[in-house]
Amino acid sequence: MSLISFQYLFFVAGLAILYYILPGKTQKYLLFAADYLFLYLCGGLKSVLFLLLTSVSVYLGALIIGKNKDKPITRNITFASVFLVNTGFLICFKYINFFVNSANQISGLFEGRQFDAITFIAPFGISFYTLTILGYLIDVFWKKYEPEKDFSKFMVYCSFFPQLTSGPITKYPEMVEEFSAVHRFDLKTAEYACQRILWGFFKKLVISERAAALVNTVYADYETYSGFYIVFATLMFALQLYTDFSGCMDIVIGTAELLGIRLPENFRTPFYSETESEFWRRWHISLGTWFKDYLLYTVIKTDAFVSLGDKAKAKFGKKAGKKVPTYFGLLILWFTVGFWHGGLWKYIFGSGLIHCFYMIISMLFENQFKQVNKFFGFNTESFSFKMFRRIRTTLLVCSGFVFFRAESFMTAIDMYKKMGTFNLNIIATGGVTALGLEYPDLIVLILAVVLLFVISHLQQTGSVRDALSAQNLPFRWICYIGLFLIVLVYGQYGPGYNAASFIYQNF
Amino acid sequence: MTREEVYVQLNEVFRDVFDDEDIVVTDETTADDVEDWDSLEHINLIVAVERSFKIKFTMGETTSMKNVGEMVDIIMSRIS
Repeated sequence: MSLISFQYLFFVAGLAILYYILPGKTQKYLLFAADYLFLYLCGGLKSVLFLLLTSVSVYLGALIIGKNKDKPITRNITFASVFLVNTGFLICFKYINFFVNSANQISGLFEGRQFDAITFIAPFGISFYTLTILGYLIDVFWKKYEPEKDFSKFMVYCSFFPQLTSGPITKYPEMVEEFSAVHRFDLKTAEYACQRILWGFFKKLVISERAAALVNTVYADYETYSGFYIVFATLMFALQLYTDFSGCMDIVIGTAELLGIRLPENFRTPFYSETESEFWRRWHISLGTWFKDYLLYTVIKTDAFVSLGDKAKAKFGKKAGKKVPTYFGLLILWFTVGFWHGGLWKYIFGSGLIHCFYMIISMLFENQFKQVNKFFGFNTESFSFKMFRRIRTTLLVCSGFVFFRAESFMTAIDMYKKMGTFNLNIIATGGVTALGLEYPDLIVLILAVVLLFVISHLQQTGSVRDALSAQNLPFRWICYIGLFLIVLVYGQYGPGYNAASFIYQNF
Repeated sequence: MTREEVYVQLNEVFRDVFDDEDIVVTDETTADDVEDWDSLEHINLIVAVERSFKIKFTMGETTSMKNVGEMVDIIMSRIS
């Protein structure tokens, strides 16, 4: 069941009605039933069984860890077993072929045996719920809080159905009471929730699907559509990916809001960022936070890294040397983030290492960049300088997106070579209209992006929904009905439309 | 070691990590009050404080300290 389908809307509407009609203390159990029904409809019995297995194993493991605070051997063995079994599932389902291909490449150097690729269909949502649930296990192991004894509370936390598709990845103490508290119907909250869901539909169906048509044409035949076509298509891919993923989050967070549950934001207008570091703190926020808290911090705190810092200070001086552990920590972090997206070098590089490289360069030459600005007398607080930094950041991020979207790492390299063709004139000659979108659709896309920009700009200063609700009734309803009609009429449903899946659902 | 003595030593650590001789931290100081104290520098600060006071923060403490006052509470509990 796709999030952008009538089935989903009926599912949510039906659930919301029952949720608020039935006695409050049954809400938790109704939500649990809905979560597993949704999972069964999306991923079948296998997905249901794997989520159950992960949830129950972590619940029991955390209890054992909590009961044995003074027995480090028991704690360590329990933690390691539960952690490794569940990450083992994730690796088997999602990354086994990375290891098979790597083994084949090494074996090929010695003309050794070649192994066949293994086809596993991953259980629905495994990438997201595994991190959510293992985060809880790690927190209990780190003694951040006591393990949850209430089985039903824990199980509802693990399985909230909209989150299963693409996150956000949450932290247990922030969310457990949200899921198990009794929620009363509130009209204003329900209105806000519906607005948020509608906005998500707008981003996905009006913008993302249209941009996808342009991207697909160029990336499927970049030999023909070379030069500026590739640059243009990559910028369109950034738009497609952002509106697809953040639109999905709008629907997820709006659905939760409809049930009185507040999920954390996963995007914060990332294209307003002035540096790569800032961008990745505003894009897919929950993933970055998870890997920072559980991987980067763990790695940098190890004796090995402390010792690395000492050696680096001795070799390069105190100031330069103290940053070396950070650089290596970032390398490990970003390799893993890229790997999480998929066991292919295009993801490892395009979603990981290239951005790490930019951040390390930025840190290494921070003082030199400041001196350049000072030398030229640049006012770094001016609007024009901020715009320059935002455009620069967007282009740097997009340089990684080429790898992310291309068929393979080597295809992306080839596309970079083909970017050298100078054909900026395609803008003037209307070459863009030959990329799979008719002229009227291009106009719709441009106007939709303008609307997206206006709303994003307003979001810099506060809640747009609050500002809208303060307006008079006729104006508000013109906006709501107008947006609804835009989605209905201009939503890109495609020929022989099947509800399109969200890009990040594939991870 | 008294709390005041801890702060004298802790100020030195902060000045070294953030390269700013003017930093003076108090119980209420948070990351918002110190330039460059972001999530990356936080872990470097934690490691520097551990080395200076010869203590270890747990990972749970590392990610949940709300201000310098909480950090000093933990330091005091470790060194006493």
